[in-house]
Amino acid sequence: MELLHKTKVQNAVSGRMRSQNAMFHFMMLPGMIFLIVFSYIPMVGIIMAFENFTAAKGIFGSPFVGLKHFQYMFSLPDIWVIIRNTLCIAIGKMLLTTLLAIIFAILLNEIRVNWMKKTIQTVVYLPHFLSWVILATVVVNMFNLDGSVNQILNKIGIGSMNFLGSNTLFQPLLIMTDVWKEFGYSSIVFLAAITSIDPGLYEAAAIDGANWWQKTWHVTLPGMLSIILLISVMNIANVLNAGFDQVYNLYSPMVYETGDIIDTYVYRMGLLNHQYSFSTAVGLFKSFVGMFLMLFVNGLSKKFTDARIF
Amino acid sequence: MKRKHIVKRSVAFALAASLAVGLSACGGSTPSASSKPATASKVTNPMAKYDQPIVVNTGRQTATNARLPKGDTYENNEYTRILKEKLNIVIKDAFEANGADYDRQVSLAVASSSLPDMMLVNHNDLKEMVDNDQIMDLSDVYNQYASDKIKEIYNSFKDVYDGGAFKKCTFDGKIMAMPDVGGDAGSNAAWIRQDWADKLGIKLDPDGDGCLTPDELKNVAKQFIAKDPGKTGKPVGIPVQQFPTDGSNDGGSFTLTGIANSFNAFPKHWQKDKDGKIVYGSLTNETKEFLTTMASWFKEGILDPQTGTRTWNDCQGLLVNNQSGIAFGPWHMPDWCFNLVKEKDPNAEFRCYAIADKNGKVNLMHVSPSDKYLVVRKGYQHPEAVMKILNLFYDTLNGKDAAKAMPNISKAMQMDNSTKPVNMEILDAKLYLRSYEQISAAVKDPSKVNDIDMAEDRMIVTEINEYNKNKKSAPVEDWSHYTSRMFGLGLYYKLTEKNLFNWQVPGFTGTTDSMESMWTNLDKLESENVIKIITGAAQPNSFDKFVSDWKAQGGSQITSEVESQASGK
Repeated sequence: MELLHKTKVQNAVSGRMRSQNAMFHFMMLPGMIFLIVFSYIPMVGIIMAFENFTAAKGIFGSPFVGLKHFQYMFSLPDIWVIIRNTLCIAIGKMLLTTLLAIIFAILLNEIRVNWMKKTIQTVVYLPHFLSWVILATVVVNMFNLDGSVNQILNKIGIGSMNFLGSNTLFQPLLIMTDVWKEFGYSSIVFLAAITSIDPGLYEAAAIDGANWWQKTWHVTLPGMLSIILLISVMNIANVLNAGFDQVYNLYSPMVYETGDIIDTYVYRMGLLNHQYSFSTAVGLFKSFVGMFLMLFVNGLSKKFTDARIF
Repeated sequence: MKRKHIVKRSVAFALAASLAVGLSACGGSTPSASSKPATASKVTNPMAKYDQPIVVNTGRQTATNARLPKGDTYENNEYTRILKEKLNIVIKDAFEANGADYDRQVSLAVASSSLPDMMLVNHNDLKEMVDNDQIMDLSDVYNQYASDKIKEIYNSFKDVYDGGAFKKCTFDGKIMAMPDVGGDAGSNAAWIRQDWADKLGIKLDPDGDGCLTPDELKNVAKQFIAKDPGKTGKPVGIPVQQFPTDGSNDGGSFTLTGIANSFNAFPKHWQKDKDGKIVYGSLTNETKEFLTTMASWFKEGILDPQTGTRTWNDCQGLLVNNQSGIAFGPWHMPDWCFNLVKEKDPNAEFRCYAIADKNGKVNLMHVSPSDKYLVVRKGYQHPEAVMKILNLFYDTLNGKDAAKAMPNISKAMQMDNSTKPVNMEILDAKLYLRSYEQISAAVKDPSKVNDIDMAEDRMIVTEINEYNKNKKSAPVEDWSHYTSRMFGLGLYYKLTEKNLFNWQVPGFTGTTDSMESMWTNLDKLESENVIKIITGAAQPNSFDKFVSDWKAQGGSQITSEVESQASGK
């Protein structure tokens, strides 16, 4: 008797929750459909990486060749140079952008004048929305041998530096300009994290006699830690995406040695030489590495902190 | 339990919905079953007008400035209107794109198997489409519908190209595309600002043979840099684009092909050495010497200090901004590059010179058959319509009676050639020499205008006369055509007359199987080394390492394939 009554109540309660949940499911539905149609169903195309794809025979008619493309990829003379370039550029960008975004968020948080805070924030995150096709023109104009940067360098006595043509300067140029472009937008998440820290903690720290630096180190940063780790885990999946748009628009044969990344090489090979299967294989390789790293870092993060994605 | 049920149902619904959407998204157009055109043994009237309008979908290769009059488009202009009038054929553009974008559109069309009815493609795409069985055999259509003049033009290449005009587009004995053909048109010349030379009192080519030695060119560049006649404060000697060596027919523009040839070096071409073996021109000792000299020129500042990072567009910008007065390029450069300079600086004048070798001769490679082919997709019901279009534009409207067939042809010819339904040419092998002869004769003696074969040349004579009448107020286009014909083609004619050309025949043109997988890498190796040696980032003796690397990374294999293809087949 009691059991029945309990289940009846439970059913009544869960009934309400059921209809609420149904609403949420419906809201998610368009996004889910989009994801399934554009991300999951096309996964069938991965099979292209294991065939000799020709347009006429289509995905299911082309001959199966197994791991041939992957073997070919690793037999290319430049493959390790290209992977090294990709990693250097991507990791450099990731580290510096995150670092700068954190620092900027912390400093911005200190500003009390609201309109100034909003203005600075808007100005700083606007470059994120500019396409590299446009920015490349600006960067080339500023950093080539006649450009404003070299003019300044000459005036102060350092002499011209060939940013776009030198193998020692090209990667730093790529990293710096991309960090400038992205740190503002990345800082939004960190700013949100900071505002969610309980102000009571700051008051407690002030009572204990903490100065600004100590407050930052002992209250702010630990409060942001979970977000920082989350963002880093998500970024790690992109470790082989060094930014095709930017590199393609800025590179030249002079800097292939340090500037050629996986994507630009495959682009030249793939689209221009109709090597569709090969390009798919490389793309699959990149995704696989990214996924593996992400799971790994997520696992570490689960073990040592309580921040995790899944 | 019930919650799970709802979740299950919504997931099922979502999957079903997504499958529906997915399937509808996949709905591509399947080509209709091919209906063979009525194969008459001999077509009585190849140029018969159609009763019903026939639509031809094309992939359109456009130009940056087509000079279309207001209200006209690529699908609706003088040329398309005359096409409709004469043959009742309507052109619809499946896509319109320029330069590298056009190549990408073609790649997309091939990859997705949704080809327009006709389009221009390069040799790689042609081969792929033949392999994929995506295009039609045009042999019958050509034999039955091509006009005699067109056949005559294609035949004129029998002795110029090894195997004739159709060699590279014939597969298994079937003609799979109509090739764009045009004959030799002279060397990659150095175009120099004559008004600047005059201003500085530099006497170019005192013996009037149309040639400069590399040192004479160097001297001009030095003086231009020192005295900055463009008054910009940032003079540049010789602009060089990011890929200074070029294997295409005209040697490219803003390249160093003209200078390389004077060292008897032919980078990016396949040559036959003295023993008859085929070598890749970028590996020869002559090329090494050429690169070493260019490295020293770069050090001295003769070449643009920003070589390597300056793109092709930047080089054009240098000329337009009056920072530089020297540009390497083919005879027709005034038509599309220097016109921009003239528009900005009305005093600009350009004259061209070939770079001669130590013996006073100009070395150059015969052109290889053009790399543009017109293909017709498999299953198109009216391939003969394509042939009729070619007949109309490259026979009737190119000939003596063009004005009778099309009264406002001179108006139409104000536009760029890309406004014709196909952006190609079908020109006789000896055309350019004859063209110059006829044009210059008619300019001297107006009665000779009627002897001119090509309608376009007649219009050009009119323009040249207009220009000569009043140089200051003539439109830029008149000046461009005057300069390109009288001096660009004029140089080719003069050097031919004086027998100063030292012609080479290409050892091999085309692609082999291994090139598909290995060429990108070899090309990258070559581009890197060339630009590094020239700019001093690598020492000239790193060239030897480049040669051995090139051979080791697949070059030897490709070379032996080339040998067997060139000799065996």
